[in-house]
Amino acid sequence: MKRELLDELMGLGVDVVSTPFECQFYGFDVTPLPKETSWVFRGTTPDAVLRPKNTEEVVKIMDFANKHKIPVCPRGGGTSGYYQSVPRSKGIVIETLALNNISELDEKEGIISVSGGVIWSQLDWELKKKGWTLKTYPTSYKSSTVAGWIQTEGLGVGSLAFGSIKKLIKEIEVVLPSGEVVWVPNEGLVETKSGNLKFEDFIKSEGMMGIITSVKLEVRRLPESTATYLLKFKDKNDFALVSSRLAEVSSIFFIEFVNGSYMDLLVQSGYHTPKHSKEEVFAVIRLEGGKSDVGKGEKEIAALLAEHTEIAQLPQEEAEEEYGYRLKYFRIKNAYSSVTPADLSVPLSNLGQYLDKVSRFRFEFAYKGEILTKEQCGLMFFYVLANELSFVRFMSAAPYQMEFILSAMKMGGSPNGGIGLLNTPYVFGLRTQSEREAFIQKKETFDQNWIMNPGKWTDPPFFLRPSIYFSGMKLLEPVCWLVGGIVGRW
Amino acid sequence: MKKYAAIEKQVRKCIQCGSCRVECPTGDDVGWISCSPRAKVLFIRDFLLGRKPTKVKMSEEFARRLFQCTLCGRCGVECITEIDFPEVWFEIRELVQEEGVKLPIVETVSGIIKDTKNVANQPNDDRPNWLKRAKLATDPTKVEKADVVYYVGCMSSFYPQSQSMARAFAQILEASGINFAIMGTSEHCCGFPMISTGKVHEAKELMYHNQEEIKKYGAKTVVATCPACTSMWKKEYPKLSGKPNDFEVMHATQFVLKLMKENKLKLVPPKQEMQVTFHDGCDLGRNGGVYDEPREILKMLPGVVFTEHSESKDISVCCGAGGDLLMTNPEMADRIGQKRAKSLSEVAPVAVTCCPSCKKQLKDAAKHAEVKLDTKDLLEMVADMLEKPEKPEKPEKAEA
Ligand SMILES: Cc1cc2nc3c(=O)[nH]c(=O)nc-3n(C[C@H](O)[C@H](O)[C@H](O)COP(=O)(O)OP(=O)(O)OC[C@H]3O[C@@H](n4cnc5c(N)ncnc54)[C@H](O)[C@@H]3O)c2cc1C
Ligand code: SF4
Ligand code: SF4
Repeated sequence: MKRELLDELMGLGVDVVSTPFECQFYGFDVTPLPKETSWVFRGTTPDAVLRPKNTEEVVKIMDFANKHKIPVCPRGGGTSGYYQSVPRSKGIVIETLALNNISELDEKEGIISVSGGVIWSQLDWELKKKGWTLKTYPTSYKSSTVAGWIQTEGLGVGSLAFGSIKKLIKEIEVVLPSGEVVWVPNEGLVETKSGNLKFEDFIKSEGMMGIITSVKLEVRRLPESTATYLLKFKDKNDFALVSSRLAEVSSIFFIEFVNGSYMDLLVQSGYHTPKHSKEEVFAVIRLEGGKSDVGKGEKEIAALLAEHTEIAQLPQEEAEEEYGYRLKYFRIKNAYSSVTPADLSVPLSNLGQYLDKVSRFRFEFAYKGEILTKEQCGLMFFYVLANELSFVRFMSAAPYQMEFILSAMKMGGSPNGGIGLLNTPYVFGLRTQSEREAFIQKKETFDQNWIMNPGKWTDPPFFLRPSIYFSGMKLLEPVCWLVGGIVGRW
Repeated sequence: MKKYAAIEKQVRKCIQCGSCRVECPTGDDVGWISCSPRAKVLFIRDFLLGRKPTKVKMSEEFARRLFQCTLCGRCGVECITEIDFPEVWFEIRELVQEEGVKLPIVETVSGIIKDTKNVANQPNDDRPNWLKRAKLATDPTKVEKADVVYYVGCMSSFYPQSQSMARAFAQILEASGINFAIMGTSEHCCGFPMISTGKVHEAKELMYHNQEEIKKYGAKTVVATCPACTSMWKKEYPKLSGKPNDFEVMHATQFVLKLMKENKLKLVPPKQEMQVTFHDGCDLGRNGGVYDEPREILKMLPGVVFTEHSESKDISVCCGAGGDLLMTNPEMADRIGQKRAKSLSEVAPVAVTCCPSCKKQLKDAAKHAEVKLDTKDLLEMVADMLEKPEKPEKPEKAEA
């Protein structure tokens, strides 16, 4: 950015930094990439970062950016993993964390108004002081923002009970790329100077349609009762067999499961685990709700255990301990610092079939799953091969990751975590062609200067285009086998 | 880099999730990500391992951010890959020193300690001056052999707001009939401010002196009122010297609880009931693992009503004084202190601490924030309740 423009930006009266030292940290998200890729992903370090404190300051920034056609990349906690919140052509990053106001709770309606940059854990802390809590949150609870999750429409802890975040939002305030401020209700159209918009235009839009500054969100009273279980299954098939039934248990709130290989990584990381074999599967189950509902759920689980005597119930303290670790599943990095996940979803009805299929892959792998809704299951396959310090190792893991995701897609699944830049090759599995075209058309109408988060799946670099990417991956497959064989672990 | 393999192992665990950022007191104060543990770890990782096409150079900008840290250890609680904070911060500060980046304020602080052997920039001969008002029957600096050595530390020796803590502890020791000694003018700074500035070599010099001096007492127990001094004697000295201590090291609260349980202290309830909350200092609590003893003492004290603060034990919020922040970034330290003082004052009118730095910091911060909060040291509360020896009755006038 030219000096005069930077000076004008500084003069807006919004908190700003523009030194290379300060800006460098906004050129990354959670995904480690080898240095050899930096020539591909150029322009990821912004020229300036701004931290607006209120909607008016956001409007000032958008007016400036529009006037000078400067790209704007919104960033909440920067916890997404596909470069959604990393710029592609320098410009400005708007870090939303100073939009952190938590207004009064409407106890009658069970709705709280918050600024878009509020972190989930902070909101929950404030709610708990009043005897209330969140209905759902991502496991990046301690660092991701309310608006950031809306923008990726994620599922997480509690979505099994309450559905996706989309259902829990009543209204959002958005600063459009033009600088116009609108309140968008969950249902119906809203009129703007450039045309009509609806809620769906912002959900999953990954910072490409405007900045969400305020959110009205449904919350709940602290549950009257809870129950936590840790169950041990002989193998993945035994778990898959009852998974749909578990998801239907009264007052079910959360189900997470891991395989024995994941437990091995925990042991190697210095943690105590129950005795296990590699094939066994362990599931943490949490019920939350009114006393009678939880009681009913407990009876249903007791009936299931009586029917399936092969399932073992482990002690209560161990169940509580595992549930307490639900945000810390990456602690297995104590064993291998290069542990990286392939993150995807499959229909719950196909879970057994999917796990069967991938277990035929050549290497042993650890996984963690979460039943996200009554129909959908999230899975993370952890692999140690993708050491970002070695370009060869990093690249040789990619075809495998591709296999995991494509296999899921063939069974009605998809990659998890949004598209951003790095999931562009899989865009066809996440948006239909007509959805993609409609989105691009909307963007052209409402963001005529194409300033909002450009360079992502809507206009990606050449070799992230699906056809190019998949051809490249096919060529890489033999390298993958070779390196994987040498490393001995996927 | 082989030399920094231990740091490398830790920072490579980081997944850049940012869970450490929100609760970091200095990160929160500054706002920009560069002051968050997440960014500092990323910088060091890139410095050591390289993720950018050009090599990352160690810089003063980074060092300035690195020292904007109270070493409170909260990031260690929050970190989802359980990186060994705050230990890693000490090691990174040492790395910065070794890479030749010198911050003037850090050099000044370490220079003062090197010259005067204390952080207060006072003649070290003034160290035992606090004893004058302690009204002890025996002068503990004159004791040659003792079971217990009380290592007083710089804060309680030199700073008036903390000297009362040293006096209180000495009075408790005397009241319990323990044979104890104080090193007096031969006591040097424990070296904590040195290792927290990354000057390990200088810290070792102080350690060697203290270890040599303490030998002559033949003590079975070394007790400190300052949690940082306790941690130095207990954890760092054996690590730095490669030799285990041949005495037990305790913080004064642990020692006093033992005395109370053995019924060695006779306490009289205060005239007025006292409503208090407790502030877990970072070095004693989160980083030292001492949570229960102060609470047990509080519950045993007559006339004291104790209410727990919601942010306590491992999620206690730093007062802002740690990690040399008070010296390197006094205004930031004060802002952090004011926040904590306000929050404590919402729970009770009195905050009890077990650390001379916390006590001084919270007292000052409460004044600056204009909140009604009195800060009391736990040992002083105990000493105030000690049964006073009955004054000898005046001899009746002899009958004429
Ligand atoms: C340890 C860990 C656990 C995770 N667990 C889950 C999980 O359980 N479920 C899940 O779905 N995801 C999960 N994620 C992924 C990620 O945390 C979520 O997508 C999260 O909601 C992103 O929020 P954020 O505030 O970090 O947004 P960012 O990553 O900063 O941004 C995400 C997108 O939103 C845009 N954006 C951010 N704020 C605004 C705004 N105010 N207005 C407009 N656009 C904006 C950005 O431009 C970007 O496109 C996890 C990630 C990690 C590292
Ligand atoms: S030790 Fe405390 S101040 Fe330092 S980085 Fe960690 S949380 Fe922040
Ligand atoms: S919480 Fe731990 S893993 Fe996450 S960014 Fe901070 S240091 Fe890294």
